[in-house]
Amino acid sequence: MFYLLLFALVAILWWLWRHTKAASIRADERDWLPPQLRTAILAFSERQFFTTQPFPLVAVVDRAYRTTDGGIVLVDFKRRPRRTVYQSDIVEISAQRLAMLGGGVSNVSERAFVVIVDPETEGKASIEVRLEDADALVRRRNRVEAIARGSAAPLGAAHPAVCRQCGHRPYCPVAR
Amino acid sequence: MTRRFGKAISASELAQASVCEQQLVFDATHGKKHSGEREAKIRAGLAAHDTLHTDAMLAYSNVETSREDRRCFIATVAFGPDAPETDALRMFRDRALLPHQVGRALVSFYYLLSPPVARFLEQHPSLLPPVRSGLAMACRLIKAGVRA
Repeated sequence: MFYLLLFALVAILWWLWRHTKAASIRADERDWLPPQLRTAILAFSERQFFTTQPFPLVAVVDRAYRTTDGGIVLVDFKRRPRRTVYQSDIVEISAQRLAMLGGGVSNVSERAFVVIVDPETEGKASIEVRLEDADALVRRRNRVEAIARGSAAPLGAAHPAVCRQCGHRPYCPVAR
Repeated sequence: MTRRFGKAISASELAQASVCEQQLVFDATHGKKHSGEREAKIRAGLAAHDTLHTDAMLAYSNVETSREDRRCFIATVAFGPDAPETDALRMFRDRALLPHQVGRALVSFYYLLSPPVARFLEQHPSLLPPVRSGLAMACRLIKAGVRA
């Protein structure tokens, strides 16, 4: 009887903890989610998508929310001190969108959000971005394939900071 | 870069090409290499993604994910992480419990209790044979249920 009561007590405490924690996570999200997504429902988290059209592409989506009008909005997290969105972020999320559309998810918005997480404070800030279309991604993929075939010469990084963090720097002919 | 011909390109590779095409070539020929500072940032980023994903699964229901949950603490101690019994119990969790709200609650309750139980079993290996017998019986029931 004692063990039964103990079990029931642990179960109740766990249930309370779980609901409090879930409510706390959702309340925290309301602080950094953009207003457009505050009524949305989380539909995907760390979900992989694959498509063969317009080219074979695989992408893992950080998060995607389903809005009240049925649209899907992508959210990508980046951990960096500066509240800046880079072109590579937009390319990555655009490719995620293409993989989702090809993977059977319809109505994926061409607008998405990059959530910058400050490594020091863990504070989050969301920035809205407009994604590239399929044609632009096809051009990017063709360029990569041309480099792979040796029919195009690879370009180096535009910014020296990229080279400073690169392990290939000692033998790279275009390092800055 | 020949290793990727005929295969899918990933979203992160496309993104990387927009940062430095030469790095993409070197990654393909020499393997990925980062400075120590960059490695630390990548590890921190992956850990942060893990936390966000755990939070997402805790705070919302019916979230679709591809991330495989390898946790199966007691069976791992009893049989090993890749044993058929451990896989059978993971399958039972993923197919029979996780699709239902009550099942998900049971699984998270199990995750709360099982790590200390697993540690206790590791420290007291004499208790493992009866635990193995019990779990093996559960596995047989699961397999019988799958066949039925």
